[in-house]
Amino acid sequence: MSSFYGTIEEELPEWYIFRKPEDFEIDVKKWYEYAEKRIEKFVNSEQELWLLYRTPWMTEEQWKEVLEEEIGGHYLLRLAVARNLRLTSWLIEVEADLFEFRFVNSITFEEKISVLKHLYGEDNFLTIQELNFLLKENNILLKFGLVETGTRKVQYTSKRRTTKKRGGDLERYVAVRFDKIPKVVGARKALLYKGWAIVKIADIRLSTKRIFENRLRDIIKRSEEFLDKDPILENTIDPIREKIEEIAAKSSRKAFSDIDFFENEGVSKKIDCYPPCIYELLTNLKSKGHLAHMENWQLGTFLKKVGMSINEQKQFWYKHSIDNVGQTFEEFEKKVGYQIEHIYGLAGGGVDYEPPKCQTCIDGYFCFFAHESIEEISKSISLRFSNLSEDKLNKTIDKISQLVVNGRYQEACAEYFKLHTGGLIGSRVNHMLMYTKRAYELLYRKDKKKEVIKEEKKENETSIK
Amino acid sequence: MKQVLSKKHISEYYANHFDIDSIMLYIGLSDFKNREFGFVVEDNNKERFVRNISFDTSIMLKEYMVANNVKHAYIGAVYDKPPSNKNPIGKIKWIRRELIFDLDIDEYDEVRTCGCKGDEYCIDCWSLIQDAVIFIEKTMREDFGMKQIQWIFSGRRGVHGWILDRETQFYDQQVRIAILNYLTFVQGKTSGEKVDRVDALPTEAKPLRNRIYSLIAKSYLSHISPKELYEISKEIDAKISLKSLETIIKRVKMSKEFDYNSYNIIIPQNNNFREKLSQEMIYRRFPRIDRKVTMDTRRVSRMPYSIHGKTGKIAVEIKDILKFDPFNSPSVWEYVK
Repeated sequence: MSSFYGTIEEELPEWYIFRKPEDFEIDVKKWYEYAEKRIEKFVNSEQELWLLYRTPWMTEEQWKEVLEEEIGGHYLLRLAVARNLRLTSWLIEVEADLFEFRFVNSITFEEKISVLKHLYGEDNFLTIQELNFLLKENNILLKFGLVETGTRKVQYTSKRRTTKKRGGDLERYVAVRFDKIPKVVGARKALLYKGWAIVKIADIRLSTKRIFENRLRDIIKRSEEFLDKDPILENTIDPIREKIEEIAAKSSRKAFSDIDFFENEGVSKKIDCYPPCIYELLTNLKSKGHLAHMENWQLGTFLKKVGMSINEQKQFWYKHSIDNVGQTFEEFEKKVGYQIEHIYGLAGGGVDYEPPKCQTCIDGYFCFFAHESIEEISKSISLRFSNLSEDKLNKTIDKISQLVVNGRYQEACAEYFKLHTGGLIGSRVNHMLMYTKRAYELLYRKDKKKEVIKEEKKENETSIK
Repeated sequence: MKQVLSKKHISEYYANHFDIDSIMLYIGLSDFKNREFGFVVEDNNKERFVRNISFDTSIMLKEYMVANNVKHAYIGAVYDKPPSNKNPIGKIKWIRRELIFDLDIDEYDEVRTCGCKGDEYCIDCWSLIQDAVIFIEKTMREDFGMKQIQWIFSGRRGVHGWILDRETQFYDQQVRIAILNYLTFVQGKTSGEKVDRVDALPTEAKPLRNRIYSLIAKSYLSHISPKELYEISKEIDAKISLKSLETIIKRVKMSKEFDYNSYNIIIPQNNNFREKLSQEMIYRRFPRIDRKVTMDTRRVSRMPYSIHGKTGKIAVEIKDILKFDPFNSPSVWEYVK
């Protein structure tokens, strides 16, 4: 691979974890130490520690050890999470944050370019200089009136003349194949020219982070092969896996959890308060007798948090699961009881797990609006709310379809909520527990309903004013 | 007198006049076995829609169409296995599908002033489809770098644009939505037909903005009367005389190479008027694409050169949208007696 700036592999900065590492050997003890240090780095709020650079007084040996720590620590974490989807999600999230921080703070433009070329692929990413050359243009930026990079832009106002400094490397333009950055293209934030999207690096920051996450997800998936081939390795990573379980659980969201409220009100039995994702999972479970692994987890953690006890949940899965065919409850419990206990923190890492937030469901669990076709969504809404007028249903389905088509799933859920309860939940739904609690208040607590409607009226009046 | 489309007509057309090789130019020969087809067939005077069908060879596809009284024929996506009743498309892995734009005249019902509604159209409202084809084609070529674009008459009320550049077939839903969002300025009925503001577009969208001020502006100002334009200017109290507006429209109509520079020169430097004008032109003349057809990768689309079961017209290729006459386009009765 080569570019205007030399060979891409050579140009990649040391902090970039997809860079091909030098060969080195580490003993197991050191390996644990590196992995633990990396975990500490993730949970440390002082982001300055996240930077990786060689100080002038660092010897060759010391620098080598820093790099070993970097690569070795990351490699062990990758292996440790490989067989667990939740831990994989956690590692991807924290590694992506670290990547973003280091990318934004990288010292030179060339460093950023080499990373971007590596992530997007050399056929899909060019500097403006390279694009000019490829398309035989003199200066594309000038042609379309885009300010050249790194310059100072003078602004005139009626009162005084001010000088505004442009924002450094991140404000510089680059060219990416348009299909690699669909969100930026859809928002018309890129200059499109012959299939190339000419954009500021700052505008593709999020897309770049997503590509990084996807690549890391693929690599972690492939790491499973190493574990399959080497059972000793599996045992070696166990202590680190436990450590990650603990850290990941601490950093999970608890904002919407209100177990006392749900238990006291017996919400677990009020299925008509459930959000569309859970309602759909329940319907699927009842008709098919099984769900995908992540869906089981989503439904299980939700039922726990709305107040279903562990025994009730065991009975629930026994009743609906296809695995129970020809089995007594005791046999069934022996077989799958462990997984349910895991959800309640009574097995495994002992963590009291939360159901995933909406964005996480969209990315990797089940979101009714992100993962079902428009036809299915419309069919399901018509069935669930068959008591409502056809006109009202059609209007909402139209509105929801429009939002889904545009990828605005959480807003679609808020529209669904309006149809479901007759009340409001804000412009978007962020968490399935938030949905359930609000739906319960509106559907079951008439006093609360009046209060809520009054509040909404007040809010509307203020916003009109 | 309305002619009746009989099984004999259909069978004879597909047996003797339907060139199956032309279809291959659209969908290619590779993975043909894994391509989904769908049909509306008529049995005992009852129509039914069947899909999840695949064929080993194009000859077998043709034989099916000759034998089964196919009222409408559709092409779907390519999957990892041949779609069938045992392997319906919901259960097999999607591989690719052509990028297709669907333009139907009834999408413009809100803004058609000629009196046509639904499936009806006249020369005047057909010009909306012509505008849309020209705008989309130019945008796809200049902005998105597409090279092979083919337009097909749907046989009834609109056209389909097939992008035949192979890499586009692999675009997932997200990329298709991005292209649609870039091209959508009139949000759907549910959003109150809200119009995106052209003057609020970021600097980066300059080619798109210039294209609007060239193509859409020219078309809009060529179709509106000075009096109508005067009413619009009065709504915002722009204080532009009817005479000036007459001159503007005359200049636009006479201008042979009207572009955004001409627009900037001809249109008065009145910000309110310009903003209102750009909103009006977008609302009345900007392309309205049926988004679901483009974004849904598992959807089936009308097969080129097939018969439209309701009109008997053939879904023919359109070489030049400005010369194409939908009222006199070929029908099955011209081929079979």
